[in-house]
Amino acid sequence: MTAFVYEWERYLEGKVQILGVSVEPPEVGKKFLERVTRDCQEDRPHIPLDPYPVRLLCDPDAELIRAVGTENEGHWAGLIAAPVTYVIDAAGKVKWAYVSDSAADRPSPVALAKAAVAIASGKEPPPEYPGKT
Amino acid sequence: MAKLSVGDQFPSAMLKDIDGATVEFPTAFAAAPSTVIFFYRGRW
Repeated sequence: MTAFVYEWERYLEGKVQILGVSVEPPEVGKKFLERVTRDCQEDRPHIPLDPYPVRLLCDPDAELIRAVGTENEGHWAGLIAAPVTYVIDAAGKVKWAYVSDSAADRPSPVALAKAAVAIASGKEPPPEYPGKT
Repeated sequence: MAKLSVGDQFPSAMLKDIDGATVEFPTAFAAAPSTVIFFYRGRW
């Protein structure tokens, strides 16, 4: 996520909003946001990412997580969201998706940014940066 | 249930952000030309 947000200053601001959804309570989300903001500032102090441009949402009953079909009920911690990333257009239509194999498997920041910017411009995601299903 | 796929309409839901503000889907997507939304547990 941090690497993706580095693309923010370059060409995402004003075109793309970034939302994160998990079952975790607000306190955990706030600590997470504080940590990644600090990491960003230490790693790339020339990029003004404070506050970090990600809005974290709480889904404690997994209402949206179940509706999207990304619930993982077999985790030792209980029901959690399996890692999935989508790019959605302003009308609410899914335009690009990356279904991860694990928490360590995330889309390339460049691929995600290219897809998001293309969709923000009313274009289709570039075929050379496919998602994963 | 199958995961949401390219071409699907995002489902309706109402959540709160970590500051307590309500976010309603799919109307929240109208706030920007495009939205990256990721599902996670505690870390990216």
